[in-house]
Amino acid sequence: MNSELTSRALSFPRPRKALPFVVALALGVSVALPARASEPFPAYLAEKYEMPCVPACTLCHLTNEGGALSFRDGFVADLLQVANASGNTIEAGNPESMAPALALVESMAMDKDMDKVTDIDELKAGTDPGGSALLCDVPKYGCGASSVAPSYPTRFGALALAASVMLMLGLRRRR
Amino acid sequence: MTNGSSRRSVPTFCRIFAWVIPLILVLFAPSRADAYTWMIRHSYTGCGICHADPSGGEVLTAYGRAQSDLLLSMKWGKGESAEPSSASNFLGFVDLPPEVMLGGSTRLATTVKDGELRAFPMQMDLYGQFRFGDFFMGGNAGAARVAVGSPHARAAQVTTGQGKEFNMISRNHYLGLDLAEGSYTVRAGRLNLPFGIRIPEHTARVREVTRTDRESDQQHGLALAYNSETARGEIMAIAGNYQINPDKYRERGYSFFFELMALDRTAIGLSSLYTYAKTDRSSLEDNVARGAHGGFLRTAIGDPFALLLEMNLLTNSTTKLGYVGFMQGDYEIVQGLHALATLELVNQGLPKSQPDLAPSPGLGELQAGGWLSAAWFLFPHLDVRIDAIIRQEEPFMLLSQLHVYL
Repeated sequence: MNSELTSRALSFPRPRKALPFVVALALGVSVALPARASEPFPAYLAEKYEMPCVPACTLCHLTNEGGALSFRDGFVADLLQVANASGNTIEAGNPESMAPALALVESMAMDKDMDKVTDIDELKAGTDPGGSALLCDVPKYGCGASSVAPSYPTRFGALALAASVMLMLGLRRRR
Repeated sequence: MTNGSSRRSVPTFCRIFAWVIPLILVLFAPSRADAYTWMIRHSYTGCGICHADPSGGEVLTAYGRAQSDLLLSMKWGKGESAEPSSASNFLGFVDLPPEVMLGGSTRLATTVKDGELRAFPMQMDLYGQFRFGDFFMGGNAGAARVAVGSPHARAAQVTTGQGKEFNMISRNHYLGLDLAEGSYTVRAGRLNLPFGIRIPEHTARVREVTRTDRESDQQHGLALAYNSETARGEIMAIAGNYQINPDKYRERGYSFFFELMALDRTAIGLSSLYTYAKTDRSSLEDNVARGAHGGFLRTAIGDPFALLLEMNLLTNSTTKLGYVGFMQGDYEIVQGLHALATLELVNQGLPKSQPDLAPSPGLGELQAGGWLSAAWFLFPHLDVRIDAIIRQEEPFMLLSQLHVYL
């Protein structure tokens, strides 16, 4: 092992003197203004059209990671076409900015895959406006998630609480 | 479907796991979820001496905790010491027996992107490993809350919330056996995929695109690791991620790396991964066989500088050939304070299903990116890190992290 590096420490303030500085830095780094969380586009569409599920990002993107450069030639092509034609900008992270273009797609009864069911009606039914895929046929996460109810945050909260209590008891016993 | 049938269809091991592992881990539990591959500058070529995982990451051994104090943390004016301080112990004061390795990590992060400031818990994990002679068992339990469609955390969920609520996660859980005095290690369970350089930057393109990060890309399977002074490697038969349902989304195949010590502080390696899934969980395309195959290099140039390099060819039955790689230089300004520069290159290949799609950076043509980072290991249980990340055609992002570990 190379021990030379261990002696390269420079003369820094002792921990106690440095503590206020470190705490201030830590707070500056970790504590920020309240997050202005941007609701994702799929959730916005699901709520707006009462879709049977929140669709995967692949409704519009080539992969579930999304991104401004990976659009599919599907429903999103219709959406971007009318947005561009009408001068509406769809802003990244701002699903509300889709509303004018969505209204136009609906009023024009656009039908990307020409199956005689309009794009918006397909969204409402949970089918892909740009093809034949089922939008709700997406991976489910968690043990047994294909058959268990969608979520149980209360049960998880109880588990976390029980775990915390046991941790505290365990530490007290060690002392 | 009725509740009764739902309960019956949940795999028994999952139900047991959901209760037993967190209790075990909390009773005996949590270590830092890091692997610092630039430790090669200290002639540490292998990982198993400091980490419970023979290929690096997560739980620290007692020796690893000591080296964390002696070689990683800032000295604050203290002279060289051959003995680690007691502060490097679990929770700062619990001197655990060598058979028990415990740890935990909380990582608070902020991002500034497109002028928007966000703060969020990036990691809340407990870790543990317990040894009984040559046998051992270990794992991790934590909590995560991500948006629908997020590529992060979902694949490690234990609880089944599909929305933007907190879920319990487990990135690793395994049983293992050391053979030939620890030269070989067999493990079965949910494991980090043995592939490439195990860096802590889980959003690095090279880890994201190959799906080999330690954030949630682990898979269930059986792995055999080999470690010696001149070579190390690990091969894993991937049985699929049983925390993703239904079965058609599970990838099965293999993953391995093999690394040779070329010089005292230089190692070169090869890695390869190939999986098949009936439906790809990201693109939702059917019958997807994907692979990544390439080489990597770790070397120390002088005492304070370490260089990491990895380049992989990407194969995918639904896209044209692609590639992904990175080069990272780590300069230790003084012990505990690091400056890092990273270059990323990626082209995932155009999708075959859309031949008319114009190439764009990252899809059909090169996308370059760069990171400028500073990591400061303030004390044995506390470090901070700031990354300025710029990628072609993507907004600039400033990421900061405060990391506390037990």
